[in-house]
Amino acid sequence: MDSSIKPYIKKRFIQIPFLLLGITFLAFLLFTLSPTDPVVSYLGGPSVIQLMGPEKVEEVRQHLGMDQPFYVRYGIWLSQIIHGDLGYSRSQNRPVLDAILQRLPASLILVFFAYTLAVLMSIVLALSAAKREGSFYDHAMGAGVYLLYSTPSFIIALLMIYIFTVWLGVLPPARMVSLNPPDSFSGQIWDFITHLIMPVIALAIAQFTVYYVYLRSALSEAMQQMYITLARAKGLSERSVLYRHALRNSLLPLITQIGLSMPVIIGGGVVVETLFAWPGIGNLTTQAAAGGDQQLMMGILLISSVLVIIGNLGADIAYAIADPRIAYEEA
Amino acid sequence: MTQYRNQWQKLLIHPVFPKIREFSGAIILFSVLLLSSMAPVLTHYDPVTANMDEIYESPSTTHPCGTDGLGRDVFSRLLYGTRLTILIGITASLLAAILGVTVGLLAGYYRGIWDSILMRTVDMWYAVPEMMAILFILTLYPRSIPLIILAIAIPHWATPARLVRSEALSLRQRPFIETSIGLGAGNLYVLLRHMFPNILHIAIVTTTLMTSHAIMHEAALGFLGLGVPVHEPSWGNMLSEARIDILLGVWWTSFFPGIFIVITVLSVYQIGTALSERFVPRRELRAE
Repeated sequence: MDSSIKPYIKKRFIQIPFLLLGITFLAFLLFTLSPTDPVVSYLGGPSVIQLMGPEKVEEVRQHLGMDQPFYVRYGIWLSQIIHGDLGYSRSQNRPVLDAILQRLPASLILVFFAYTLAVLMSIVLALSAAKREGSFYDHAMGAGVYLLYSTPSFIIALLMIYIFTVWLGVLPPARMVSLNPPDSFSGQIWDFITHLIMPVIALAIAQFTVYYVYLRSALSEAMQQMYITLARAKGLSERSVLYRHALRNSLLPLITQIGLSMPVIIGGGVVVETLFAWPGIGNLTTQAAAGGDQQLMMGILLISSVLVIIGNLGADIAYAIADPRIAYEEA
Repeated sequence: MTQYRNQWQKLLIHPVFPKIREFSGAIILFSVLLLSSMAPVLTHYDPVTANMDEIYESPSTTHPCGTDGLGRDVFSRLLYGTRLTILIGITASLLAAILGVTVGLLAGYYRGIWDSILMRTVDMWYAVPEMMAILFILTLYPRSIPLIILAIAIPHWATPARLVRSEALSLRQRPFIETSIGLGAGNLYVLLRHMFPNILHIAIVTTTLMTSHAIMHEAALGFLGLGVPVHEPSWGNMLSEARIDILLGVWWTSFFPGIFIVITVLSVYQIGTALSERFVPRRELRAE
């Protein structure tokens, strides 16, 4: 790694705690403004409160430090978070952190494959369109992507369920593995793959459209640059000009775009995971929102923000390594 | 922090569509609105009342879009649902735009500490996934239609704020603003008389584009069963039961609302693109 990149990465790392501090503060502010009394929901609802009587409730309130002013409560809550205590989820009947960590792997699998598919699809299709610039194919691709961009992921998902589950009967419509998974290892892998296909496509489409438009316009811009003319003048084949020169330079900004689409893909996961009953964070989010589980919702908000920050940081570092000019400019 | 993260910006410099589309979006949106405003004339079915004798009837001359699991006419629900969905979409994006433009304008005009605070807040805001923020807000308060509008509006304020702020920063340096201040014009006067009209084009374009986003968010919320009250017809609500329907082989309960959502989002989005091509020179968008 180039030594000039280090201060840039260091600077980006230093920003993280401040970002997180700000997010926790905003989230806690919204949390405090809620009309729901946290002590009441901590104890398990108004019926429990009636049984306990007001004195006992006040005791609990003092014990929890909930009678303190705002900044003290924020401090108490923040120190709990730093110690890894995100509270207790009523709807899941377990600590919030446990509930989230248990669901995290399934979501990460989904996000990973969706990213891979979106990036591959956009590269392959954008290249194929760029090769035939101005042709009917190019225009048709553009129109198709435009249409897909305006289509919510759940409509694509419903369409796929209708075709592949109801009509053809080849793909399962829900869950990550079958209720009765096959015994053999290869059978289990295949079972998992069939469950994976539709959610991954549904999640990837929205990202694909963005990457495609981005890459397509970057490619046509790159093709007008001097170095392309030079490469052609050197006698390189059109194929090599496109792949080795135009594509490489157009991929750089895509790295940033991938990092920036992290919140979109995590947010999109809520709908897709719920629709396909995928046991991930998105599904948990819907359950938390439907059950009014504020503690869990707060935990999900924080953890998903951490994921986004990590994703952005990763993309920025990758970009700085791929294009050292960035580090020189900003450091 | 990298420069932009909103996808539509890149789509704005779309190379593919030729010029024919300038007014196509407006015409389509107008027809959708016209259809929904003529709902009582076009259909005599009530969008809310269940009719257990006519469950899951496929599209026919009596029910052009079929009926759903409670025997309600899908066409009638679609037309009435348009009102609520578009109302939520437009109000939410207007709210977000008012908030974002005000903050962005003030930050760009006063600069200094206010500007720093704003930009750090925007950075923070961009780290929180929109959907999580919307659901978080919905979880905290008793659910109602105004809350849903607010929940969709709040996560969207950051983009107009950032765009307006960068435009306002460069405006602030321009001679006519400096002159106006030098001649003794008050801050409020300069802001309203000189700054605001010059960022209005950005506000209009982002508001339009946000509307298509907001419509999709309403549909997604309804789909999750977390949107407007279940009995109200809205596109999202219509789709929330569609997942079960589709497993029964009933495609029309999701197909027609789906088509309506895609057409409307596409046309609103198209209006935004056309407006931005009129108002915002390409150079500026690329520079962002």
